Amino acid sequence: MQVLGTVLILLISGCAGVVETPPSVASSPEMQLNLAELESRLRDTTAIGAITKLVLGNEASDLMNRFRAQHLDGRTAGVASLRQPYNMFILKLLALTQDRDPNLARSLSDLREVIWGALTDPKTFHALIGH
Amino acid sequence: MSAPARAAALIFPLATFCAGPLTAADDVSLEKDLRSVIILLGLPCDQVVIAEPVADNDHIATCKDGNRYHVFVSADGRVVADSQ
Repeated sequence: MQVLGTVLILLISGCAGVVETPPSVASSPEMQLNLAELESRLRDTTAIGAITKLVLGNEASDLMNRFRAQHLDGRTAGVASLRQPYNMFILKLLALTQDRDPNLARSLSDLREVIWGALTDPKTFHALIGH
Repeated sequence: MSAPARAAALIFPLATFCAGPLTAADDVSLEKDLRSVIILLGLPCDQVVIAEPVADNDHIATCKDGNRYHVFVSADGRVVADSQ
């Protein structure tokens, strides 16, 4: 039931369209700390098998390439069209972690909008990839 | 790194898994790992009952429902599941 609830919440929020992240939230020291910690926990979690991590790595690369292409194209609407694949990617991470690493799943869920906000902001994205 | 940049960088750590050697995940058996892979690749498998190693990062997975897959990492680092 908890799994179903998580899936439904993600689907419903995904259908609501692009949600802007308030800059004050994204830049708060507390949030920075949480993001750094989350990055480390994603690398180290034993909730996701090694080969599965490879598949997710492939998917992450593909998704980043799609963001890169849309940002180069310069159309905001194009980036917004990646909301569904982004949600699906996060959903997969949640599905894989929620039972074996529920704290990580909760953190991922909490930071989902912050990550989306960074990926959709051209300035942040280009600074990140060095273009 | 700013918070938004760090946030975007979160998606990269998963990509970096491709770069290093695979390490065993204590909590996930090989069978469960292979099932997750097969499902993530959009293929049917209710449960992996036999996982036969062929080589490093190369397995034959037999599912309870009779499906059988060759799961391996291709030369370009992508995980492939070929139906047998």
